[in-house]
Amino acid sequence: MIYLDYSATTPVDEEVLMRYVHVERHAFGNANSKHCAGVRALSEVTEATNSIAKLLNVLPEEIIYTSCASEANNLAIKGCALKHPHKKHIITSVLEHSSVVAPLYYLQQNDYLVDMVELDEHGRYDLNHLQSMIRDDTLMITLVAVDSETGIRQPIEEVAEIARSKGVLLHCDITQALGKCPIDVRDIDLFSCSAHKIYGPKGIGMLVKKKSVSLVPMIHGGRSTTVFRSGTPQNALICAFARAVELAYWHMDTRAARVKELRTYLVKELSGFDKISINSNEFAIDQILNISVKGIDSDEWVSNFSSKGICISARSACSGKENFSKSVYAITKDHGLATSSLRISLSHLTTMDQLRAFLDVLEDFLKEMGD
Amino acid sequence: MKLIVISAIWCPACLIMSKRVKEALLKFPDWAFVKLDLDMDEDEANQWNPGKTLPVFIVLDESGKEIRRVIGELSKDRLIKDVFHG
Repeated sequence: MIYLDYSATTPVDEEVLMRYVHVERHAFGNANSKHCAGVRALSEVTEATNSIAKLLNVLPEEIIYTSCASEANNLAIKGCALKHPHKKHIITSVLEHSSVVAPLYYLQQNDYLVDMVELDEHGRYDLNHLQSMIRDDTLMITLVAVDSETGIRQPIEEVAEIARSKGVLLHCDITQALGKCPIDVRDIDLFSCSAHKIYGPKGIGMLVKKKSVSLVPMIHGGRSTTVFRSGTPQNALICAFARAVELAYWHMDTRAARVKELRTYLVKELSGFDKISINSNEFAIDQILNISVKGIDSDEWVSNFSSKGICISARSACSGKENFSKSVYAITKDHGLATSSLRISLSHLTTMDQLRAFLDVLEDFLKEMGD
Repeated sequence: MKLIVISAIWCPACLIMSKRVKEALLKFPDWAFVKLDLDMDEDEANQWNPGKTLPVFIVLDESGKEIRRVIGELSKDRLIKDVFHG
């Protein structure tokens, strides 16, 4: 199998897995118990949390562990809405993950007003438009840091400055950015991410919430590692997540350099095919390359590649059954390109041989198409 | 006349259009309106062969016959023109 869908999920790093197994075996106690097993578990969880906090430049008490980034997104949006019921206006974009769109849809059915910030010709947020949209009753701006389909890195630090100057909360889904590109989270009030996108296990994510921000929990049940999300602390998952974050940060430069090399090769080769348009632009992170083959059905081609043992995707794995890429349309304004897009997502684990094999299969498909 | 809208809560275009449809329906108080969620009302929604682009606007005449279908995000004006006036 040739796996080129690292933005959907990643395989667990062996070291992360070992950390998980070690903690599950040796620190399985309830971290809220007062006996020695609990103390041992709490010590592991605290050490892991401190490590994540240090690397992300946040406070340990600002970290709220969740089951995934989707839960973190829901907690941030609905939790803040419940806490500030007099503010009924929220700003977002068409690039958001389904776990941001869905709670907003829910809120809109309950008398909230949701507005979308426009994108500029590069597929990035139009900051002037954003600034003009903010009203007295704007509760929150919720925007993604890196678009999961095109990989375009958004000017989230500038968005944070605008939000701060206007006194509006900023929530940011940094799932596709974490560990892949530098991101300054200092002025972001709340941000969400998950472990499985950075070679960690599935089943854990987190919402980082600035101390000064308050929200209503979605799961009520008493104190866990925080009062904002009840449930017995997931010791092993937390420690594995911490190890994945550590590895991602410690090796960010070398991993990024490797991916850049792979991407440069891939772009050069793809540029040789007339029928292929490259949608990801100069603002995209190296790990995500979005292309279109006009005239094809993306989903059909994903199946065709899969039949040859190659895993790529048409869109974000969570974008449901829709076959239209809003992200690609935002950049290209071309319906044909938006319905024929393919996402190739690279990793430091990807090899040149794998890319060559992918290109060979692509060439065969294009030939068949021509015939 | 009857308007059936097939949408999904995870779809940004559906989020945008739900507000516009709500506003438009105020101008057409005689129209019956049914909203189907592609996931929650799966069986009923699939009876209308919604395809892959959301939302789907299906207009039925008095006899229940489909007379037009429009898909995707539309401006407020196009919604009125293409869906309600046809």
